[in-house]
Amino acid sequence: MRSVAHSLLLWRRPTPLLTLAVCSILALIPLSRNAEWITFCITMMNLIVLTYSLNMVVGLTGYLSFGHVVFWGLGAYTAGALVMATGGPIGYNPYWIVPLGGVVSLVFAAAVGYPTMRLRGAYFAIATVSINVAVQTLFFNLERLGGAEGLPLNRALLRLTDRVTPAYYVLLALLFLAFWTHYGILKGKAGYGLRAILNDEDVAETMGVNATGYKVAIFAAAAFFAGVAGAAWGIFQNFVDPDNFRLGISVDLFVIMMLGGVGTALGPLVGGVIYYVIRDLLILRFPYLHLVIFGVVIVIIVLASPGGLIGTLRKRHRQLRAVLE
Amino acid sequence: MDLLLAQAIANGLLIGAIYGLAALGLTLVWGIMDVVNLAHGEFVLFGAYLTFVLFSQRGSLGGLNPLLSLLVVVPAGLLFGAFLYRALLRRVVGQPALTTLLLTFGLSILFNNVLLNWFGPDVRIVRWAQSSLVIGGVALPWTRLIAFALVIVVALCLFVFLQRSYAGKAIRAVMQDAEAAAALGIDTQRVLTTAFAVGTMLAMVAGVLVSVALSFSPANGVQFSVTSFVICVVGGLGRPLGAMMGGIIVGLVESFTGVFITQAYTPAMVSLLLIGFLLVRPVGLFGMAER
Repeated sequence: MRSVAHSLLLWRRPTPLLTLAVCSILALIPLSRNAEWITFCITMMNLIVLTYSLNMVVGLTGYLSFGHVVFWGLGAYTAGALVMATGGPIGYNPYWIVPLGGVVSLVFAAAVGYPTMRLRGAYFAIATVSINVAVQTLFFNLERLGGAEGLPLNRALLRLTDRVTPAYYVLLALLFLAFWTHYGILKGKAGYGLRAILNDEDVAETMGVNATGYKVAIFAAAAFFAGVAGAAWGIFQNFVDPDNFRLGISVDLFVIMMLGGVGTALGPLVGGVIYYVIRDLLILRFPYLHLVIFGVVIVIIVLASPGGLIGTLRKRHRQLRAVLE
Repeated sequence: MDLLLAQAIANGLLIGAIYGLAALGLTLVWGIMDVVNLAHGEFVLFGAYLTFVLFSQRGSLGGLNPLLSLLVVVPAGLLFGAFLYRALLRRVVGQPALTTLLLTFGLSILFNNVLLNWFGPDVRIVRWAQSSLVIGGVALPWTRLIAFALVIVVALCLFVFLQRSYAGKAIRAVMQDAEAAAALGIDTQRVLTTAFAVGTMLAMVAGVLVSVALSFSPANGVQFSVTSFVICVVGGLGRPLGAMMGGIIVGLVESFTGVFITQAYTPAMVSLLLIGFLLVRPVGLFGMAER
């Protein structure tokens, strides 16, 4: 542990160069042409990006966005609806339009965030669940977009030869951006405003922090990441359906976020990898057992170490504070 | 059309009463310790599955009448609630909403997946008294009528308990002002334990009624939690009467959506009801403005 801590200290903080280096190593994985590995990484990165998105809201403002997966689903459906718009095979690479999925989620988040972020605590939490359920119900019944059966995209994606590799790079880029956005917010002026809101919103407002502005802005920015990830996921899966709004996905995100450490910039990454390893070890023999274990883990984390892994490490090892955020 | 309307009202009333009973427990706990128990829906499921197990087993107790299973469920709920409060909830009362919500969220995942491991994802039903009373063409299933009568009995018992007994009066006192109650010599921790035990027990009793009047599976846990929450908001926080009225309103909204729009839209309509109330009248029908 000591030596790990010391070697981490060499860098002092996660410099852009260092993270770029890590990313370029990760960028080599698709060259292996091992489909199983690449798919595994895509699934994992997708959840990690989503957790970053969630962590930006929960970790930075303290508002529990239980229905966060709604932004992911909207992104997926945006991509699906756009590629299917012409009805025939599309001539361009569909991955170019994934940012539009993010834009739709961003606009939606700003629109619903403005009224709902005035609610606090459980009221906000359940309101987000309600919005998620309402949107899911809408898509269940939207026959133009496939209704409950979902919308297969293979007719539009006929000319797309490689669905997997671009998805990998889109998600890797998103992961890089999400980390730096979170880190930048923590270190920048916005971080002070958000921390003030997290500690005591009324006091923050009295001191001149534009609480509503900050909250809605971070909510919309977080939704953008979830939307882009959703759009990439939809094209990668060749299929979008109302399951993209499943509340169970939010459960995974909360487990990952709390394992790593709520509000920390590295937490989602660390939590995501641990979550995936444990889940993969258990899921074949006991399909639901990993969730029982994670339920216990959440209870223990809340009671014993609210900072998760990263938060606890930061507390225990003073010298790690500069490195781990 | 009139018959359809009458049937929709009857269904809404009968189902809504069960929802109301489930929400009673949530509103009691929420009102007294400011903890929104996200595992509340799982407590309802515990009651339902306990009844199911007692009803469908083949041993000496084989085919236990669901009403008799109340004799098991009530003490089990009280003990389970008291244990949970003493072991876990006690540690987070008074902490920020983030902490209490995440703790009960973890419990909800835990309990739900224990049920999923144990019973699988299948939809279950307790096949008991499967016939209906027909009045002027409106069918009233006996199970739901019995459930409705039981809801009234339990709600009256709760009312008498809160108004007359020492423990009930102490609960109301702590709900109004915990510090003043403590200053007058009321053992707050003990009162909170009682309140949580009673709240858990009410949810599990609602689960018994769910098991005979509706179908259920582990997937319904979130739904019961959210529905109970909506009812608490509609009825007003910490108001037992409000919870009953809120339950009936939600039941009617669900059954009217099912009859006049389409069953598929009921979750969305309940969500809209919640958002509408939060925006227009956040204190609910029977709630008072913030102190």
